[in-house]
Amino acid sequence: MRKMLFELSGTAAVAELLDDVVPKTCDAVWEILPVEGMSIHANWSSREIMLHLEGDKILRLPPEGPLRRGTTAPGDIIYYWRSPQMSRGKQLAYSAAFQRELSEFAIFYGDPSAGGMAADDPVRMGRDSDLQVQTLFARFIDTPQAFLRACEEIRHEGLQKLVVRRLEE
Amino acid sequence: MSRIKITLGAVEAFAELDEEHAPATTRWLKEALPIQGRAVHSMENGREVYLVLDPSQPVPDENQTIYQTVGDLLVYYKPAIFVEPEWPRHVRDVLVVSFVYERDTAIRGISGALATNVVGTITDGLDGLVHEAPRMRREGMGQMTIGPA
Amino acid sequence: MPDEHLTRKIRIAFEDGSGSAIADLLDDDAPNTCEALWGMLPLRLTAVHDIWSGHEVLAHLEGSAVLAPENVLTYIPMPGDIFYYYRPPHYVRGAPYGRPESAELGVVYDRDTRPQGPRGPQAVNLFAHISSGREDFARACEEMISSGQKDLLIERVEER
Repeated sequence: MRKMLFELSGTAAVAELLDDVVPKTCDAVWEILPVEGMSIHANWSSREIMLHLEGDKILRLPPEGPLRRGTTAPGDIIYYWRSPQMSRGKQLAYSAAFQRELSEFAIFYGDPSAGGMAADDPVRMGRDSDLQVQTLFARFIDTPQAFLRACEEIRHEGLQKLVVRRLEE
Repeated sequence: MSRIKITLGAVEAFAELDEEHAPATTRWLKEALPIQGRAVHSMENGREVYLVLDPSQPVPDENQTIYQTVGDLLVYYKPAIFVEPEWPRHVRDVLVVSFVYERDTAIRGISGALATNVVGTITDGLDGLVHEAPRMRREGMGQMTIGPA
Repeated sequence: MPDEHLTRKIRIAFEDGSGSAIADLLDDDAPNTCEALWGMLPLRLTAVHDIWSGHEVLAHLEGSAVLAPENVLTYIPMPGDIFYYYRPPHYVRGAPYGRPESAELGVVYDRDTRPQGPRGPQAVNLFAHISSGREDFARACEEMISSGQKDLLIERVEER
């Protein structure tokens, strides 16, 4: 399986793409790497940091893979797209480009993952689930403690630069 | 005293305590003031900012709801895992005082909705908090103080 | 004051005179829903008190009123929020309010409310918010718990 390297605040972690499960999503992600941006910590989904995809890196992919009703495990890396039809109130923590539509890597680094309010989002669990695409496309296979601490620190210290690149064998 | 001041970074807001419907909690809170510390933005509840407290006595369930709304001032026990990166050795719930500053917020526990004490309502300065809290999410969390108005 | 003049408003009133309110349409957030609803006005509907959601009254739209999801509220509404919701046939168990399919308007008149039905929380289109008269209207809504349904008139507030 292809691998990606996540570089954050001087630390790094390795993830494996689920090429055998969601090949089209993995191909689309591989094509846009490397991606970098200022990562923000989640406020609905617990131990998650997000990397928003901007400009020519934006991905608008259809759902792929087995049905997931919002169930997420620590270590999951999810392609997430939110339709402009969704409301999120005043998204003042995000840049202007993401006030409505959102395209991102949702990086679940610890426990609970997707716990909190995200677990009770009606759109994740019902017939309107096409308003959001959440494709599990990779899993961390090596997450040093320093990387996990760096992810946690984002919630207290603010945005940190995250680079996601191909890890060539 | 039923009016208190919340300072978040450079922003001030004011809240009215609901002494009629949450008498024990508001009495406890007034005795604990001023409270100061580094604000924490919720990772699990949406647009919520809180301070972790170290109470000398338990706070009873009062004026509870699972339907928290914008402007609510809350006191409740939050699962420790939402505060700390790992479960502490023996502490499972942490007492916090928090406010809800925008929509799409509701307090969750490990297993679902969490009923919380509603101790007051922010009456002035909410718009300042609406901007300051997200700014802190981006730039780093700062000091929060709750004290007499 | 350009924003004030550009905000479209509707009046919701119980025809027995028990309560009324003015609401602002959220044209920026839900343009398609607002436009569709504006085109239907005036509307005379039967309002009933919701049995799953808390402090909410709802009124079913007759005929073809299937609108796409827009400004979909994720969680707890604020008191005063007004939404549109479409429930397709066979989506939930049974026929809530005797209707196997429904398009409905909901008015959240107080807190401690979340739009839901037999399967739990509903993803509703938030398209308006009461800007004045909510407390008066809320009293009339609360009466409905014991007194039953009421006739509701929704009409445009035309600028003069």
